[in-house]
Amino acid sequence: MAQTSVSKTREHREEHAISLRGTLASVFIMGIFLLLAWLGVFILFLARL
Amino acid sequence: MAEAQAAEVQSVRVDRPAARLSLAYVLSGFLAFGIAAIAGLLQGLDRGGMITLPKWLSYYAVLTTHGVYMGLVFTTFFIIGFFFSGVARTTGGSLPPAARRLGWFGWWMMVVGVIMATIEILAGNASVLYTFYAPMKASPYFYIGTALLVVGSWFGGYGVFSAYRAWKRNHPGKMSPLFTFMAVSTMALWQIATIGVAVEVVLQLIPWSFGWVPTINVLLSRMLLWYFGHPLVYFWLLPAYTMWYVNMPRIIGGKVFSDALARASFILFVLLSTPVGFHHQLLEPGIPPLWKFLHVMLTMMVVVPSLMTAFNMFAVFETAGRAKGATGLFGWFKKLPWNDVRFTAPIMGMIAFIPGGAGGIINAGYQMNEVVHNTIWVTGHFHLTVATTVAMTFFGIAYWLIPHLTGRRLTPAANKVGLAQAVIWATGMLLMSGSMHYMGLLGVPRRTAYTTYMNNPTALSWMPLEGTMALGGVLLFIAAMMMIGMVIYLTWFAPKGFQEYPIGEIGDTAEATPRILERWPVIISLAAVLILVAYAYPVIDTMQNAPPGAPGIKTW
Ligand code: HEM
Ligand SMILES: [Cu+2]
Repeated sequence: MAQTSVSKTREHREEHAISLRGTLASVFIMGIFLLLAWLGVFILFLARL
Repeated sequence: MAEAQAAEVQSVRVDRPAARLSLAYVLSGFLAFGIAAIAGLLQGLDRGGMITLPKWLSYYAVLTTHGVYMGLVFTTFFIIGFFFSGVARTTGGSLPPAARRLGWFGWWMMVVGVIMATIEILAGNASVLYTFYAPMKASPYFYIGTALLVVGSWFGGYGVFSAYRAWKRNHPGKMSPLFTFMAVSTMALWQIATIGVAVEVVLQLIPWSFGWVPTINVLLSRMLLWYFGHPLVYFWLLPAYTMWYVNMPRIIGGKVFSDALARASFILFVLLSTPVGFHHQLLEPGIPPLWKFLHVMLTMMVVVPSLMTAFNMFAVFETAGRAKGATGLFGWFKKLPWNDVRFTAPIMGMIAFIPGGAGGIINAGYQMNEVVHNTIWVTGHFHLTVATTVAMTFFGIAYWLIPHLTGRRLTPAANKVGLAQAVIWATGMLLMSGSMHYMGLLGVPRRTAYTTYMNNPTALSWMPLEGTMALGGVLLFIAAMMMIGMVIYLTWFAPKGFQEYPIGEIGDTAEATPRILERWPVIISLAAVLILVAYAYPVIDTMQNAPPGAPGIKTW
């Protein structure tokens, strides 16, 4: 019983050990690019109304 | 122990009979690609005013050849060949005899169909472009050829399904291998999608083209075409995603990030790719705005699985990079194997998908569509998505798939040529697609031969951009010929040996995959419900309150 809980916490820590900070930053940068591109053409649309 | 097991798994080889089938498909695909690249070059040079096509060769016959051969023939053949190889590879190395028979039957049918369609295009009887929009009317044999191409591809799908069923019977209660699952979902999507174009071609176009019926319901024919046309683009894309999810992790020395995420995204594509076709018809009169709105909403939902895929790929790259000791926010980016063409060609495709996807979201909004509709922006858009993202992933696959199938090796020298080929393709596309996007925003129409609109000053001001586009086309053509050279080399001339068929293992931290992700009756029923919601009323309405029937016209 005690043993399983020890190995469980260890597993937990290992999961936290993989950092996905770069992934988070990358998807945010990508999202901002999508928004800016969309806005750019939308502004063009408005300008031509 | 685990290492030895992994090495053993990676040494699985697709056996001769399965390899021959897969190779037949892949090589036919590249033959079509090579011919279509010549057409693409001619288009670029003609539009740029650098050459004048001879009288007997119409720009629109060339453009029809390019669209049909790139969009329908190259892709479909390559995809089915890739899937057969990967299904064999992940289910033990071979295909059941029944699957192979279905595969060969489909291959022959597709080849006969393509030959028929080609003869009609070259004879000048079918310059209707690859969307064959009514009321433009081609020779019936062009439509019959297209129908054979589509029906033949169904048999390719049946072959994949039968291999999957055989595996399931031998492994009761087990989840199928990820690659095989993805092949099955993509071919299921293809079965659903092609119903639309099959109905259009068989019930509308062929009888009308033979003259058995005098007129055609144009609105209905276009609805049926785009019922097929949007999932078509996912049929191109999902095999590339399969490579990214399954093969890529192994190539970069990482692991599959999450089996469940991968399967869930494919299921979302099966559900959401079809009920969205009206986003291609936003400016079509005769479809009520409410229905266009519904399709646009569903279109925005099908962005979700692509965003999931983007997240997944970043995570795969970052995890692999950090395992190799990368630090900082983006240090993992440098740890990727940039000098390995199996990685570099596909990742250039992935990067192109970021502006490609941005363009797609722009196209799908009603107001934005008014800015870009029928301009060459659209052509620029799909040269990023299909002709870069998908095509470069297929190039990357070919560099290991072909030698694996022929019992040869990708040599370091061939790898270098491959890297150069990828860079030239990407540069050419940057120029060509970039100028297409820009011209589109200025209002330059797509699908037009060289013209200055009677020396209209605005039209004349576009010419330098048309020139840049043509220059990009020349680079693309060079890269295409290098690719063909590599295909020939890897098929017949590379040194004998063993080229690994890379299949990623599932990462240790991945969550268990929920069972629902393989319940086909549930998934297909849900897809059917969505399709009925999106299409039942508009289709019935279009038949009951049909617009006046149109006789055929020949615009060329
Ligand atoms: C050698 C490389 C290529 C070149 C130089 C090229 C060039 C072109 C050009 C200039 C056009 C537009 C002409 C117009 O609208 O008037 C075009 C259209 C098209 N291209 Fe490409 N392309 C290439 C590769 C590809 C690839 C790899 C694919 C897809 C796998 C593809 C699919 C298409 C399609 C579907 C069309 C639309 C045809 C139509 O509007 O009916 N192209 N291409
Ligand atoms: Cu679409």
